[in-house]
Amino acid sequence: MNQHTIDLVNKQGLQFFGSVNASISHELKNIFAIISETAGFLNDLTQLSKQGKQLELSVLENCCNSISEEIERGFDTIRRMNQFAHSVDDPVRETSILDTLTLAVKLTGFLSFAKKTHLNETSVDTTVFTSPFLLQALTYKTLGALYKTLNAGDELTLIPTFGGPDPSGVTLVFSHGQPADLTDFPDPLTAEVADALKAVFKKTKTGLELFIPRTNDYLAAALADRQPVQKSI
Amino acid sequence: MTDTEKIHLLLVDDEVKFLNALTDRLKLKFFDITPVTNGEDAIDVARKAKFDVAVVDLQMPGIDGVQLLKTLKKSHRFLEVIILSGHATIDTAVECTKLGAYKVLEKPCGFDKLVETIKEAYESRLKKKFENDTKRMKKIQSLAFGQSPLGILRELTKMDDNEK
Repeated sequence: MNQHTIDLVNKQGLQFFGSVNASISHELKNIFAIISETAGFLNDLTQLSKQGKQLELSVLENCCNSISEEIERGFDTIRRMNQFAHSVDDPVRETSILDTLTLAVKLTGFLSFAKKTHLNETSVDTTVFTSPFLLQALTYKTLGALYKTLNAGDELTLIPTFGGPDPSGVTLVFSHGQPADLTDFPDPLTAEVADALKAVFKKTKTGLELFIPRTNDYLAAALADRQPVQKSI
Repeated sequence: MTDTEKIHLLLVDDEVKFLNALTDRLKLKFFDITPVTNGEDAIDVARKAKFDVAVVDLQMPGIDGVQLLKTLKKSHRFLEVIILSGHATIDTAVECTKLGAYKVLEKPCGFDKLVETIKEAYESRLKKKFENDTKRMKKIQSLAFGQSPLGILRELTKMDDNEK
């Protein structure tokens, strides 16, 4: 395997993996904190009830609903965590664009500075032959960088265009409807990932476009001798 | 505990459901709670009302917990600030402590531990305030000798400015 690619996957990949896991763990801590406080509140009410204070059924109902919602949120978070963990199973493979973008939107949603993102899913999905992990990292870093340039309350639209003028790839259009300061984007690390994926950024008046080639011979050759890891459930 | 003895608590967390759940529980413990979901609102309400203790999340959109801690400690000298966060690391704990945080707790934190910490922070506030009041009283007493009434007023104004 090409030494540069090994370094990229090892150093950047590990750093990216760590930062995503940290944001997931923060999300899970929040969920557990809500469940813990709501269950504690129910216990407090039970103790008060034992002392003769009348319980309001609506309060109990709200608490139970809140716990159920948080458990569902927790399951969803763990599903995303599992999906993300499997992005390193194969060094290169046919990778679904919509699955990658859906996961990137969900994972970046855990960031404290995240903005609401509308992913246009009306197009029929397509795949590109690339590194699923690095593509995940690239879309994640792009969304994260855009969130930082937007103001509170701003929203972002992400439109994958598969049947565009260039059939050799897929163009992802990140739009926020107004000019944003992207002078420092892509940063050197993001540019390095984009380079390995042969992806190309183009700044527009209202956002960014990211071109992903349908095939990546350079990456496939560089990663050809790497054995796939044992897949787990 | 009567209304006047209640600890006035400012709760700041962008996780609304957590904020509401914690507010509900703390109210049962006779705290007077003002919950807000961001740093900007926290600074605003702290300007308008007096608080004994603030419990602040670290990672929030806009003004984050560290910035909020700095602002609150600068403008409210005796307010004790407890950091309660799912993102707390040793580095942030050290930074927050240097900036004057009373304690840094990791979320989820046991409710009893949180209540205990709030009470300790309140006692710390009372102690600092008492010590300051005692110093102030001694200073006023010393000023009373050998100063003109206008001189005393000037010195008192200086002291008030330093206490903001």
